[in-house]
Amino acid sequence: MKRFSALAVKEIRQHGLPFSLLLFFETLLFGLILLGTYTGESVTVLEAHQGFMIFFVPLAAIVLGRRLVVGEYYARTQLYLEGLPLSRAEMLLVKLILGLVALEGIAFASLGTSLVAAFFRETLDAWFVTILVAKTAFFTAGVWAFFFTMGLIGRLRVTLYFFFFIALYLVDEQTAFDLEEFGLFALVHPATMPFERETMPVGHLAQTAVWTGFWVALAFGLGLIREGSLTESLGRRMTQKEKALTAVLVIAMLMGLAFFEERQQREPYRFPEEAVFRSDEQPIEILYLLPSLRPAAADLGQHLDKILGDFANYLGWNELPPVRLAHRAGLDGDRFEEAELTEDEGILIRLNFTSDALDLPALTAYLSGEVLDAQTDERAQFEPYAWFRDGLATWWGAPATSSPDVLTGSCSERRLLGLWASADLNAESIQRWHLFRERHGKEAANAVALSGIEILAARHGGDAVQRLAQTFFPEDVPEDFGTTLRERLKPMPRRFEEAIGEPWQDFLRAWLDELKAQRDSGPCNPRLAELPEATAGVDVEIGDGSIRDVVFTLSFSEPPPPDLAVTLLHSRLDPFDAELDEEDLRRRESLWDDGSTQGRWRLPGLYGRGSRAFLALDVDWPGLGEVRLVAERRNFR
Amino acid sequence: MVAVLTLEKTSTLKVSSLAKAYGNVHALADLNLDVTRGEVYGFLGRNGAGKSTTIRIIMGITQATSGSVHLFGEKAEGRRHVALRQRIGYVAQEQNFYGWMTPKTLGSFLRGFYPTWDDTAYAKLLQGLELPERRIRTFSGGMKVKLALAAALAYDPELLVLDEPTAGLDPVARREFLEMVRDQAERSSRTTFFSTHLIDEIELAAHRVGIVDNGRTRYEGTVRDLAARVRLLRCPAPNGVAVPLPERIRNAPQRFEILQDRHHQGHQEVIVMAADAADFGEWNPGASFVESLDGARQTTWNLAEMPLEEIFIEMVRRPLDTAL
Repeated sequence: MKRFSALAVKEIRQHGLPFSLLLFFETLLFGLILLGTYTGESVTVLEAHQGFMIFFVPLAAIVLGRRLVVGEYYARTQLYLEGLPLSRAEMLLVKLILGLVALEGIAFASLGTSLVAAFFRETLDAWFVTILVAKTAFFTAGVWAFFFTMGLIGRLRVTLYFFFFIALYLVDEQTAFDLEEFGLFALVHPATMPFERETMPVGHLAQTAVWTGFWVALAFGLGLIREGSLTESLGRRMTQKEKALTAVLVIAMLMGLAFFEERQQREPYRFPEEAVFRSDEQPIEILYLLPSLRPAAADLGQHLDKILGDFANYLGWNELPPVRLAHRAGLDGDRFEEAELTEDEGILIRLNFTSDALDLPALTAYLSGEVLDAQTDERAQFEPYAWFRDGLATWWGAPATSSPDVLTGSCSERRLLGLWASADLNAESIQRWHLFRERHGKEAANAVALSGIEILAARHGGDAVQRLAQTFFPEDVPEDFGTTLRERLKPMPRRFEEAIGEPWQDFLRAWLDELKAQRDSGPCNPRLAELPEATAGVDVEIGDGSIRDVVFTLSFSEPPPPDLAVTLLHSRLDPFDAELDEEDLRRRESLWDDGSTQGRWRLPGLYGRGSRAFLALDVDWPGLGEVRLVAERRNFR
Repeated sequence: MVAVLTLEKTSTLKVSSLAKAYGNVHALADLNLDVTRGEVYGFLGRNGAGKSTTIRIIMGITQATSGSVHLFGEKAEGRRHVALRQRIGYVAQEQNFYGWMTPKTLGSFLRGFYPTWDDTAYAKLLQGLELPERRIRTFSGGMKVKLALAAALAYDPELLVLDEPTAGLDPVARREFLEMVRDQAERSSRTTFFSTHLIDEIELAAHRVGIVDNGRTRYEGTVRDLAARVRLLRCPAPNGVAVPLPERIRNAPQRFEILQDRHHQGHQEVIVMAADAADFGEWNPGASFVESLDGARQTTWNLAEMPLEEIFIEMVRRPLDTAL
């Protein structure tokens, strides 16, 4: 053991200072990230640890591999070690373990710091910490095993880095294999690592263990084969000829990848030439399929051409993103289905535009929101701006409700819905608008967001809304790191104040006060007061084995109106979904028993133990619309 | 009855039928060496003869294809071979020290590898070799070799293995180094095994010599014995007429090995190596004898001793299988 510790001490003396410098800079950056997540808009402080694992652990592993392994062979000092009472395998083992200890040390320092920070802000339990510990330990070991082995490849390693990068990229892009769902990549996935609290990812841990074992075995194979002569020859510095050849190879690989990428870019989505109405002014196409539907398509097209064209002008855009609508006879008139397109292809919506129930203002509002998303590469959905996106789109779809006279205006169904849902509106719920939208449903959230636009218009005039819209949603948003950085440097409240001239906090206070005043004494107050008190709940009951039943309960202080429609909504969730798509929710509708004050519904055995689901209950209250009485993300234990 | 006391010399290093192949290249083939305790053993061979390969196998750095190495009486193999390095002082041909270390930090590092490491002895060695306390990367080649020797002696090893340690040293440094090797051997019972391709180093320092050529042992014994077993026979051979070998050699081919048989400046020269110096009988250096060629004619053979360097050259520059 003494000789192992002698070698370990030598390594620490040799590499301690440079590695400490690296750690110092990593610590600085980690501190900044941690501070950002602690004070910023992150859902959890543990996102800082996840970021550290993805970027800084591999960086430290590269540096360690370079110094502990590559440096030894470059300097040919491994020949000196070979003469000592130490076998090659022992030499490799000491370096492997030393590097692993160092990396695990910094990884766990990051985890520990993050957990301490999280302790003051979030709920932590032992099982969640255990999951994080396992992920951290296995991921770090997997990363180190890879870079340790690459160190033994010596002068070919950089070329191999490029090769692996391109190979993994191609496998991920061109095959059904999802890299993010594999082994160590899955362990630090941003959507799961800081959020998955229930399920120990045994499969991914096992994959990582196999991955680690493979690279370690390869490392020892390389280091020991032909008595280390292979590694010794690979460890020599590159000749000028080899450097030139490597550069050519790397350039060829990158060019090949670029060429491949180019070929992979399929033709933009196009409707067939026939049975399509094309707008004259705007890039709007409507696929009607049956000749008899052409007049309806033309009417709709002309309407949208005008109203969406005006929207583009209002926002200061030169043109709209392509808008394609396709007729689908089976859909309800108020349902719109979005089809997935690649970026820059605009939007494609399926709808039943010949339905008598087609709600044109709702369609306009819906398309306005989709247009905003498409034009801004989804940045309009970024949570600080999402309320404004929803409000603006709703406002554009229903200009009749945009009267600045918010206090004295009539109590429309939407206004009533917005006021009903706004009781728990606050600064945090605006910062986490997706959660607010999920908790209250899309319609109610849109109504609340609309109230913000109305109050903004009432306080600063309609131009202020336009200025803010042009500030928040410019036509050209570079999709690069700079945009993200600028966003960090100038967050939404500062942009708001620059555009409107009023501090965001002041406006927010005014908005909340206004809503409260409306609830307390506005035109909708009497109708709000008429609404009975409702108590809704959702529970999970354990059945046989891993079977779990979902039980919804609802009670009213007095019997609700007859024929009240109750909708149970549910959807299986991944460990963490940033945003829930309402269109993906499964619905089960039933009617309330007339005269009753209590209801109970059971969804039997849809979700097993270990799964996760979104569960909600909506009622279609006469004069108020569809309101959500309970909404939860639930883990099935 | 007279009791006969036999003092058997113990073998510190014994190499038996050692072979090493790198693919189709046979670096060693049937190499045999026997180094007894306390002696300075010179391992002589041309460049590429297999000296370094042999030493790397002795140290357990390289594995032999076949054959065996015994160190201190036990078979050296596997993990045991690595452990036996603690009893061997090793100075490699190329000094690959960590440049950032100083002699002192090197000592701290090596202390962990050798249970018998002696800091005081090391300090004395450094002082005696006039090695400064500064980073090793600033050392000259000679200083590095001295440092390697100091590091190899600081734990008082039973066997000192030196792989062409003087390669790259200037003549003065080379002489100093060899004298140090000889002095430390004389002052201790330590066995020293050193490889070289220079005869004068053997003459200066070695008690016994092993000559390797094409991976095989060509000779093993004392330097004096080697000189005694080789004679240069010279007789006139005008017009390049071939003169038959002397009758004594023709009659006992198994006892004599012809290292060279050539015409040179009107003479026939034969360099012959006997299995034992006694095989030459009265053929002493400086003597001559007459032999009948075909009954009518006679020739006179003159005998001379060969310089060690010439013997070595003649031994290693001819094909191994050429024999009488």
